[in-house]
Amino acid sequence: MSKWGFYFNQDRCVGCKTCIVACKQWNETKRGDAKINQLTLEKYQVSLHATDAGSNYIDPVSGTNNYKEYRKYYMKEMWRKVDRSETGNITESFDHTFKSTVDVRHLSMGCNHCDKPACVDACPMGVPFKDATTGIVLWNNAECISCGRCKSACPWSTPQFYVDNYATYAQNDPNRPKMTKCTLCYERINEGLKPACVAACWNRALDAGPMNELIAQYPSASTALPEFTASSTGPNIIFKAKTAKTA
Amino acid sequence: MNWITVKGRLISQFSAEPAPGGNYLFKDVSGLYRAMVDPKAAANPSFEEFTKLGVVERSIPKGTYLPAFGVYPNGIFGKFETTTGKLNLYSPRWGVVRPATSNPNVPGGKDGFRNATAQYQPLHEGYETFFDNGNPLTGTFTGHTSPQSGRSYTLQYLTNKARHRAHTVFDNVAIIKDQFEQNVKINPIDAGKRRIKDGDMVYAYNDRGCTKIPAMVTNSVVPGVISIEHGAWYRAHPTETVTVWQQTKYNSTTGEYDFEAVTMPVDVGGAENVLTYDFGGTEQYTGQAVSAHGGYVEVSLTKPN
Repeated sequence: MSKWGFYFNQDRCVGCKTCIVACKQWNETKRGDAKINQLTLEKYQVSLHATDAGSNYIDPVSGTNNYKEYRKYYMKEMWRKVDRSETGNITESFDHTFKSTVDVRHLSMGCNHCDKPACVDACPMGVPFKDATTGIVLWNNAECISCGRCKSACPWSTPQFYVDNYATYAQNDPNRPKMTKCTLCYERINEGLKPACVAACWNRALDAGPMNELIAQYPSASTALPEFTASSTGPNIIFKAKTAKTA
Repeated sequence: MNWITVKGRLISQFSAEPAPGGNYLFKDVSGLYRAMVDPKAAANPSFEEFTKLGVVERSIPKGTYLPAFGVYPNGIFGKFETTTGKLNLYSPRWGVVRPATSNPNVPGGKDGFRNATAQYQPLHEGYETFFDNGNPLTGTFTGHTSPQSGRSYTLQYLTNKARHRAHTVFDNVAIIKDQFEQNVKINPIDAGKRRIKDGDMVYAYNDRGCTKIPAMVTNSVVPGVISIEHGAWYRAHPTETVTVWQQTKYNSTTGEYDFEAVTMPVDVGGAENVLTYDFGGTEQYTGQAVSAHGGYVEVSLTKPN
């Protein structure tokens, strides 16, 4: 069995989140509410007057932006996330010039397809499972009871539900959110393609493949990164950390 | 070691100064190249070869004085025969498009060609206007007090490009919009003075309008500057309003438009257009729709009147 995983080059990532959008777009049919909130032409075509009146975009009482209707027909699950961390500060010297030590680092991460996946161990219904040939953690959520144990067991909350209050739905509710998660674009790599996030990354910060090939291709890559939460579950991801900024 | 990079194609295409009558001349800059790179050394290409190569890189000892432009220490070449002694970048197209002007805000405005020379142009509401003598180096920081509203402004806004939009395009695409929050980026020093915490809903306002968006307290902007990403769509608050001053009242005595107080809704979309000023496109500066410039602004947790 080969072990598939990711490579992330922090030096190249600028936090554009193209990987997230590509992931959501490719996996549109796999989102949890794909059969519940279906986009039809009638729903899509909202008159300009209706949007200006605020019913779709602005809460008429509080005046805050209301995107509930707006985002209803897109994938809400964050299979891939990009975290931003900022260190350093800006100081003003006696001659009113500024000196900056600000350093911004990003971490783009999907599922790490662990050797010993915590979600598989935690699930009482056997929804997530490890693929025999690639080691990818796949899922079949027909039996999912929306207990959320997979999400809380995962160190990075990779298993996702399309709403946060998934546990409050009744078991016989047809709208009950069921677990979905990153599949490393299983159907794409079967065709010899890279996953959607890797293919879309215009700065080439991401790569995916069997781990032995990735390690051979990026010999300087490390399994640790300051921004990455280490875990004993054996995550299949390697990093090139961003070069430290010199003042 | 320092590195010197000489870009041959660029240098050989510099135009130095417009000549009388509107034509401009190409100066022979081969002397500049010889001053920078010793052509006698075997490894160095001649000037003709160098213009074809484009780029030549040589390592030099650290601390070496590089006579890039202006007076050279060996005294052979001296200054360029231009008004500044340096290479002046000049656009003949802009020399035609921009007429000569006597506007004191435009440096070198008396000469029609000087307007087309690349140089620093102070902004209409730039940093200089915050100082009592208009000079950030020698003056005292006073901020700007608006004669219309009486409000005091000490911050400047920038409207930098958003990563997820092409100006205003894609702001209605939820899958993209959800990934980036439209916020006002403010330095911790300025945020602390105003008791603003990260994520607070704040009002960014000036005499022209007011927008209500979350604050992002970050060191990515320097103190005294806030940043609102350009291109978010305007959305009017259903109930909250502010007083703004617009030049809409025609004054038959002066022939100009006077300021008039108007009540307008607060914007909750984060459209920086409510803060920017309008000005003509080709008369003085470029651009009208793109607000790639600064201006007075104040940020507050409480709504202005």
